[in-house]
Amino acid sequence: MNVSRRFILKGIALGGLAGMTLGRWSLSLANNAVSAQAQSTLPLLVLVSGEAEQSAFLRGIAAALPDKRPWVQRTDLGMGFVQDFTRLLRSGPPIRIIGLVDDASAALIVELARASDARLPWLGYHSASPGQSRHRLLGGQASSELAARLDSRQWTAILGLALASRGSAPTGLAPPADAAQSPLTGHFVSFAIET
Amino acid sequence: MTEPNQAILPRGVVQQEFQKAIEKFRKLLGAGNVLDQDEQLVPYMKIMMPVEESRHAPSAALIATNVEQVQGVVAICNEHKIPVWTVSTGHNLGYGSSAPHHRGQVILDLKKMNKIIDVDPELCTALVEPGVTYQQLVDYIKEKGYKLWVDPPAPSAIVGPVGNTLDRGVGYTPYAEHFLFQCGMEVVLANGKVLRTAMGGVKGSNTWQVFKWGYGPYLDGIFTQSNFGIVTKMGLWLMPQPDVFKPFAVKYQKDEDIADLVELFRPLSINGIIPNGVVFVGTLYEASATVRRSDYTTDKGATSKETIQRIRDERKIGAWTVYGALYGTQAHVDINWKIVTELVQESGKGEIVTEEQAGSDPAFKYRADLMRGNMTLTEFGLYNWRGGGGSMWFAPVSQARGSETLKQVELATQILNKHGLDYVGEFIVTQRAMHHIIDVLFNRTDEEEMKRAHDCFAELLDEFEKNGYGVYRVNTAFMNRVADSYGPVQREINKTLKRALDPNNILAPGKSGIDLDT
Repeated sequence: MNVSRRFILKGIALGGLAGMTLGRWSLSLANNAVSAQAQSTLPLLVLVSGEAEQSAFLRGIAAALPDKRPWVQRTDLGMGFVQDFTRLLRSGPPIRIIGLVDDASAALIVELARASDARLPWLGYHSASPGQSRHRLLGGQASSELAARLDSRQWTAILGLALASRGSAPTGLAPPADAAQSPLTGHFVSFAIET
Repeated sequence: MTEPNQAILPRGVVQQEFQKAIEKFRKLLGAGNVLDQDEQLVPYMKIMMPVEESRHAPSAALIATNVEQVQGVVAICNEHKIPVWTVSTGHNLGYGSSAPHHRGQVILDLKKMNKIIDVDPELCTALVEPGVTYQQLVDYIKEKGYKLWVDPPAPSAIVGPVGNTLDRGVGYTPYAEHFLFQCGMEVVLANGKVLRTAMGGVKGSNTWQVFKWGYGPYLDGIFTQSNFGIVTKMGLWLMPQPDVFKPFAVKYQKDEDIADLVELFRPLSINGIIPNGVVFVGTLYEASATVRRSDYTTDKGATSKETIQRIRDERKIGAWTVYGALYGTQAHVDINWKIVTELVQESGKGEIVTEEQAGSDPAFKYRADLMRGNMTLTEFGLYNWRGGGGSMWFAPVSQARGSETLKQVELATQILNKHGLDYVGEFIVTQRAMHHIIDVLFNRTDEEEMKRAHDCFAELLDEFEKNGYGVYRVNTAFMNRVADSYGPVQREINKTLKRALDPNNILAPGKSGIDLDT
């Protein structure tokens, strides 16, 4: 299986993706990214699914990394995704993967991460309905501090910013809510994985 | 919220003693194979049960790569009285995942013991280590060009035959009853000795993977759903690839049709016309391949009958959809297909759907893949039905009779709906027995819904037990409760065996309710 052939974003209209690179992620790209960044920071891959693709999560990431171009990949439950993601975790260079996905994708991604000896500094469950959001977080000190900040209409942007900056960026930097953009509703899981 | 894992200790073990053991584990396994940092342990804590993660938080995880290391781990555990919870691939979703039975147990992860030791293409046998996945086995068989099929459970590619068989899991081909098709085990006992069961004990024997029984008491069974040893190799039988595979579905429109269906299809199962388990899938289970609850309603609580009917109408899903398959030569399949179709037509109800008629229907493709032993992860779609990450399998067993169906569906639906949850279920008829498989799905971000889900599962166990039903398998939070269902004598004999085989109670205390300390 050719990783680069599989890891393709298929025509996603990602409105909030200023500064992000859409397209295919591959082991060779990961290697190049590592060389280019001289190992100062891990290359970043962003995974999204469903409504999260249209949410402020990606705008939060862009705000955290104004000078970088993280790769964005849509998840699915297909065997191609599983095989390529596993290869990325096991055979690729060190990488940081963050995401906001549906429950089914998250169940799979976390299981694959554990099977590949990856670390999971962050795991969050989120339920949002109009006017209310709930967050259940696993992940030590960093998650404790962030948990309190998510109780906001901007929780997706704050989350994206925090995960992309590894919790170092003040959440005040999160982009203001876009009045034209409906708040994300439904059930989601966020994570940060490091190999 | 996790806490620094230094605060998590095995039951009855003080910090100093634990650290001594950790140092010995590091020396034995290498520092990289002893995980004790939060971010290393969080992946083992993603549970789907309606309890706090902290109740199942491990104190550490150990990764062993060979039998000698497993023996070494057992020796250290005995010396320091460290309880160890063993997982193979650890993807036991809906039954506890990879988290230990109770807080502080050290996880022994065998994922890197993943050698395929042997596959015999003529005798159709395999000998594998615990970390081998079905995907790995399929890739190996494909690479060798063998005409053999595997029989995965629904999470297929990511799980493995050893863990699933030891938990007495099932698949969907004619080799679905995994323990029935298991043959020979290697087990590290709590005293460090290595047992090879049945013919594996005979020097020079080449029959370890072909003759299950050996001589004297049959021991393999006591190492399934138990904590009497650590299985480090297991033999299994593989299905020869048939000339023809013909999956089919039959759709039925009325809830009450289920009773007649079981009566109709049971004889075909017992006499081998349909050699795999016949699955009767309820509407919402079938819908989960393509539909989310939020597509139809955002109301809290159970999904209304009207909404379920809308889903049936709009998605062309039956009240029950029967799935089965025929396997064999063309002549064999042709004759059996005639028997099946005539029987359904004579019954006067049911719409037969062939693979050709189903086209690209994802639900049909998913079921056909399962019955063919193909790798598929479509069942994960269940987790998106309600969302929120909660899932527990409730799986009572009954006689394969139509009269057993409706009363179970009504009882389960009434209890689930009372607690604001949905009936998402199916029946599987395997000759004489029938498994009723219900996924209790709930939102783990909602504390109140977590409590309801917990109460709901407890009530399901209580009420089904009153009607004479026991579950064949359960998640770690309810193991002790389910062990009670099987009576005090079974509990006592299990404890007697535990005392004899593992007097220090170091192997997975709590598994299936077996624990010398409670």
